[in-house]
Amino acid sequence: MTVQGAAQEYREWLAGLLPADYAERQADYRTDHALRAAHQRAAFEEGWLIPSWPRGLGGRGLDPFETIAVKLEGARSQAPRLPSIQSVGVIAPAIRQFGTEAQIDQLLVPTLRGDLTWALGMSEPDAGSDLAALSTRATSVDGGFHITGQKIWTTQAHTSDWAMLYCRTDRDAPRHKGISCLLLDLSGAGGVTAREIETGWPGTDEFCEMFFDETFVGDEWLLGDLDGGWKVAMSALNHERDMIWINAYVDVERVLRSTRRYASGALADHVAVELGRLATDAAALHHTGMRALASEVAGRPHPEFSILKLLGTEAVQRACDLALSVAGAEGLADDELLLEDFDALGATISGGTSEIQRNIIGERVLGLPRG
Amino acid sequence: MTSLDLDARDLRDSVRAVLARESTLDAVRAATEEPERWREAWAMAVELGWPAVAVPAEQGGLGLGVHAQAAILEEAGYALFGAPLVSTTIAATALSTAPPSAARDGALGAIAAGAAATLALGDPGLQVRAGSLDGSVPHVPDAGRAAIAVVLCGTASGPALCVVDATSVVSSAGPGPDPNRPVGTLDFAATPAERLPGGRPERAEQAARVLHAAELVGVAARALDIAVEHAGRRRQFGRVIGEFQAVKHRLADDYVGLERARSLTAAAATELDVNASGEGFEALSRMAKAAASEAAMTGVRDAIQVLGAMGITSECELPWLLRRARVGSQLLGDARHHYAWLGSRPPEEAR
Repeated sequence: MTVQGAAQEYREWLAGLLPADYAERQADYRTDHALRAAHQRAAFEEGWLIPSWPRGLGGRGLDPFETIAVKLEGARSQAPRLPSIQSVGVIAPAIRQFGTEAQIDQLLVPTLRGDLTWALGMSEPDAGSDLAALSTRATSVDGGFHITGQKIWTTQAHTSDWAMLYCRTDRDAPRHKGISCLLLDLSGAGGVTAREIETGWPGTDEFCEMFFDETFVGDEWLLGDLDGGWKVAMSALNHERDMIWINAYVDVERVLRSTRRYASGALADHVAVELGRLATDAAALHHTGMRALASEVAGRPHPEFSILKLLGTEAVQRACDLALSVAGAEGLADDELLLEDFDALGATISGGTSEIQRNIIGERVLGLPRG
Repeated sequence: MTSLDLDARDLRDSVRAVLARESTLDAVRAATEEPERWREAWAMAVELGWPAVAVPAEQGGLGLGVHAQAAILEEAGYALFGAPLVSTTIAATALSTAPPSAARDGALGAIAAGAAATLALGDPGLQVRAGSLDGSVPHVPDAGRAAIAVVLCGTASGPALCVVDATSVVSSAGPGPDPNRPVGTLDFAATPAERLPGGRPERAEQAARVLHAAELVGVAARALDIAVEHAGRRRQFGRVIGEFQAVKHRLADDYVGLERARSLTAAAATELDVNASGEGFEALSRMAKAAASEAAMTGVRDAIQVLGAMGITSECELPWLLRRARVGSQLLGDARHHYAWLGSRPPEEAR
C-alpha cells in the first residue's frame, strides 16, 4: 500500500462511518459519547485504531509513513476523539509491551475496543513535573500489595474501570529505582475514593484526585518488574511519539483559517506578520516531524524531534490568541474557539511542561549541565 | 532514504572538515585589511569542486541539485567562509532554470571551471535594449568579485534573465558590514547582455531565498555551538552559567528556531529538486528564508548576550556571524517581510 493509498482508504472508511452532517455539526458531535464509542469500536475492528499494530489488535501493520498519513487525515477531518485517550495511547501499549500472558489476555483487547477504560495514576500533589518524587506507597502483603497515598490530575478517574498506578515499592532505593507499576480493578477495590476536580472552563475533560487507603492489589497485577516502574512509564509515554506534532500542526492551520474568516478581507500589518509566522510554525512542525521520522527509520539520531512538543503546543496558544484578537467582541460567542484557547493552556502543562521541554533540550540535546 | 541524501551528507562532512581547517577566525578577520584575500579561498573551493556542485553534468559540473548545494552552503555559513560561494551557487541555479542554450551553457561551463558569479535582482525596471544594458543595480552580493552576473531585466516580452560579463562592468562597493560578503552596485553602460532564453526569474528568486536560508542556518548553528560551549564552561556565582535556566532556556529556544529553519530549508531545497514546475513553492521558499533569517539574527544576538563582553569583541566569531547574519537577512526580504506576505494572502494563493 502506498502512503496516499492508506490515507485514501482511511478517508473513505471514515466518511462511510460518520453521519453525513458530521463536518457541519462538529461542535455537537464533539460531546456525542455514543458516536465516539462506536467510532473506537469500528476503528478497532477495521485496524484504524493503532494502524501500525497487527490485525486483531486494532491495527493493519502499516509502516510509519503510512501511519502518519492516516493520523494526519484523521486530524484534518476531525475524526471523533477517543472516549478515553490515555487508555489507547498509554495504557494499551504498556500492557502489550510489559504485560504477562494473563494480563494481556484479560485486558488488552477490551481496552482497545473501549470496553475497559482506564485512569492513569501518575501525578501526585508533590510529584508533578518531578514524577520520580512520587510517594504513594505499595507495601508488600500476603499475595500482593497494599496501596496507600494520593494521585491527582487523573483524567476521568471517576468513570474509569481500571487504574494504572505508579507506586513506591522500595523507599530506600534511589528515586527512579524504587517505583513499580500496578494495575487495579476499580470495580472491586476497597479503600479507593475518587473526587472530581472541576476544570475552569466548560466542556473540558474532567479530571480527579484519587485517594487510596490500604487498597489491596494482587501480585498478578504487577506490570513489568518489581521496582521497574520507571521503565514502564517512560516507554509507555513514548508510544506514538512520532505523532506528537500532528494535532498541533492541524490545529494551528485550522485556527488560522478561522482567523482569516474573522478578518474577512484586509488584515492589519501586525496581524499579517503574526499570521505568517504561525503558518511558518505549522509548516515547520510538519517538515520537522517528517525529517525526524525519516532519520529514525534510517537509524540516525534525530535530536530535532525534541522541538515538536514545545513548538507545537506554544504555536497553538499563539494561534488561538491571534484568532480571538482578530475576532474582537464577536469572539465571545465562539464557544469552540474559546474552548480551544483554554485547552491550549493545558497542553503546555500536561505530558511535560514547556519548562521541562526546554530543560530536556538544554541538557540532553545541547549538553548543558543540570542545575 | 535516497542516494541524494547520502551524497549530500558525505559532501557536508568533507566541506565541514576542510573549512574547519581553512576558514579560521584569522582568515575571516584578515578580509578587512586584505580585500583580495578571498581569491585564495575561492581557488581552493574551485579546486575541491564546490561551485561545480550546482552546475549540471553536461556543463562539466556535478549536477547534485539544490539539496546538495544547500548542505554545502550551510557549512559555508557555519565556517564564515569568505569566498563568493553562496552568490555563485545562486547564479548557477538561476542559469539552470533555463533550458540549454549557448548563453546558459557557456556561463555554467565557466562557473564549473572556476568563474565567480552573482545574481542581480535589484532592479526589475532595468531594460535590455538591442543586446545592451544601461543603468544600475544596487544591493548585489559579491558585485565586485563576480566574473559573471545574471541580471533580472525587463524586455518587451516581460521580465527575463540576462547574462553579463561582469569583468567589464564597473562596480561600486558598499554598503554592507561584512568584508567577506561585500554588497555592491553594478553600473551598466552600454554593457553587452545576452538574453537567457527560457530563464525563469521567479524560480531563480525562490531558489536564491532557499540558498541564502541555507547559509543563514549555518550561521545560526555556529552561534548556538559557541554559546553552548561557553555556557558549559564559564563559572559565575560558583556555578557553570549553563545551569541557570535563564541561560539554558534561551538557548533551548534558539535550538527550536534553528531546527525550525533547518527543516523548512531542507524541505524547500528538496522540493526545488523534485518539483520542476515550481507550483506551490513560493510560500515554502519564503518560509525558509523567513525562518532562517530569524534563527540567524536571534541566535547570534542571544549568543552575544551569553558570552557577555567577549561576545562583542572582534576576537571572537560572534560579531562576524552578526555581520553575515545581517547581510543575509537584509537581502531578499527578512523574516517580517516574508511573514507579512504569507499572512496577508489566503493559503491557496500563498503558494
